[in-house]
Amino acid sequence: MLHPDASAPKSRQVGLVIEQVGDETIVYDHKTKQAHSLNRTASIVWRNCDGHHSISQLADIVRADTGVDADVSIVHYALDRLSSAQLLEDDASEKADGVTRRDVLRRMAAAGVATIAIPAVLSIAAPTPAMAASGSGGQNNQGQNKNTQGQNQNP
Amino acid sequence: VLRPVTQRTHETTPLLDRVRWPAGFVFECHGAIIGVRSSSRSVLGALRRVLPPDARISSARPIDSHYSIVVRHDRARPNEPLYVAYERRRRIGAGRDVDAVVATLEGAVHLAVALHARTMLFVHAGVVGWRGGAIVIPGRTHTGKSSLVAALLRAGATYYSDEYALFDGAGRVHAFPKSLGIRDAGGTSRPVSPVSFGATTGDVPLPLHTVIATSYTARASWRPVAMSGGETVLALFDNTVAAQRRPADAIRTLSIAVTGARALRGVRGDAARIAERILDRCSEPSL
Repeated sequence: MLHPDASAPKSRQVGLVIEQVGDETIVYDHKTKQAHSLNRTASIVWRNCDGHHSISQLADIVRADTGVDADVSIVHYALDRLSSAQLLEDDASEKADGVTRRDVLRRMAAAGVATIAIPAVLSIAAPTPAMAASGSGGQNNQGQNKNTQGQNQNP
Repeated sequence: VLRPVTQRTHETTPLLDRVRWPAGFVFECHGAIIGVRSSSRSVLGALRRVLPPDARISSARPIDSHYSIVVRHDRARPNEPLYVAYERRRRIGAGRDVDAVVATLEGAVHLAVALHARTMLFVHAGVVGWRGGAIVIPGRTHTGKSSLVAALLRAGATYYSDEYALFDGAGRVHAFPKSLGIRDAGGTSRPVSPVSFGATTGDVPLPLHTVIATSYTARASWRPVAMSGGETVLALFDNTVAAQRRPADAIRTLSIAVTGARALRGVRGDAARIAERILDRCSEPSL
C-alpha cells in the first residue's frame, strides 16, 4: 500500500454544484451530468482534500469528526469512491492500492466500528426530460436510474 | 387510435408552413409560455383540454414551445378527418379519434410546461396531502404512482397530483390537480376525478413530510427501509424534468425540501394493502 503520507489529494471544485443535506453532501457535476450523494465520512474526506492534508492526516480528521477509530484504509477507500465519481483532481484510485469494501469492512469489524461509517458515494445520471416523465431509461425497482459510478451503500 | 410511435413520427414536415391557423391560443403556466393552435376551429374546444392546472391565457412572448393539430380531410373518408399532432415541427401522433390525439398532445404540453417552468420545479411524482404535510411518490410511468395515490385518497388523504410534484423555491409542494390517470385491465389510462375516491383537492402549498420511493411488484411485501436525506434528494432529482436544464436550481430546491422530511424505499404489492400503513407512519411527527 502507498505510504500514508505520500499523497495529498485534492478535490475538484470547478463545474460543481455543492449542497449540504444534514451531514451529507450533494454534488452535481456539470461535466459528467451526474449527481452524487456523499455520506458523512465521504463528505469529511472530500471536504478536506485540499492538496495539503496527507492521507494519514485525513484519517486523523475522520477520527476526530466521527469518533470512529478510522485508519488510512478508510481514507483510501473514500478516495477510491470519490475518484470513481470524478470528484478528485487526480486519479487517486490507483494510489489507493485496490482497497476494497470488503477490506474496509473486515478492518472496521476487527476494530468494532459501525459499518455506517464506511464512506459511500451514490451516483445517478441526470435524467433527460423524456426519461423523467416516462418509463424509459434504466431504472431500478424504486424507479431510479441505475447508478453509473461505483455506488456503495451500507448493508 | 393513435399511430404507434415509429420512426416516421419524428419526421419534420414543410407542410406546416403552408397551413393556416384559424384557432389557437398562448398560455402561461408557472413561467412557461406555450402556444397551441389548430388548422380548424372545430377542435378549439378540445384543444382547451390541454391547458394544465394554473394556466392562464397570455399575450406574453416569446413562447418556449408550440403545439399544433392539423385536421386533414381525404376523399375516401370525408366524414372521418385525420387529426395530426405536432410538437413544434415534429409529428407526435395521429388518428381519427380527436380525444385520443388531444390526450397525446396534453401529455406533451404538460411535459413542456414542466421543462420550461421558471417559478416551480416539476418532479414526476404522485402527491397527496396528509395532516399538513405532503407525501410525494416519485417515479416513472408504469411504476404504480396513480394506483397508490388512489389508494391513499380512499384512505382519507387529500389529492394534490398524480403526475407532477411542484416544488417552490422554499421547498414547499404545490398541487397539480389534473384528473388521475387510472389504467384499466388493458393498460389504457382513463381520467378519473379524485371525487370518485371520496377525496377533496388541496390548494395550499405543503411542506414535504414523506417521500415514498416504490414501485409495484406482484405479491411483493412492503418492507421499506429509510433513506437518508442525500438518497432522497437523488430519488427526487432522478425524476426531475428539468434536471439537465436547471441542475443547480433543482439540487438546491430539493436539498431545502428534504430537510426535516423522512423517506422510505422498497417494492410494494397491492396499493390498497399498504395505504393505511403509509398514512399511519406519516401520522408520526416529522423529523
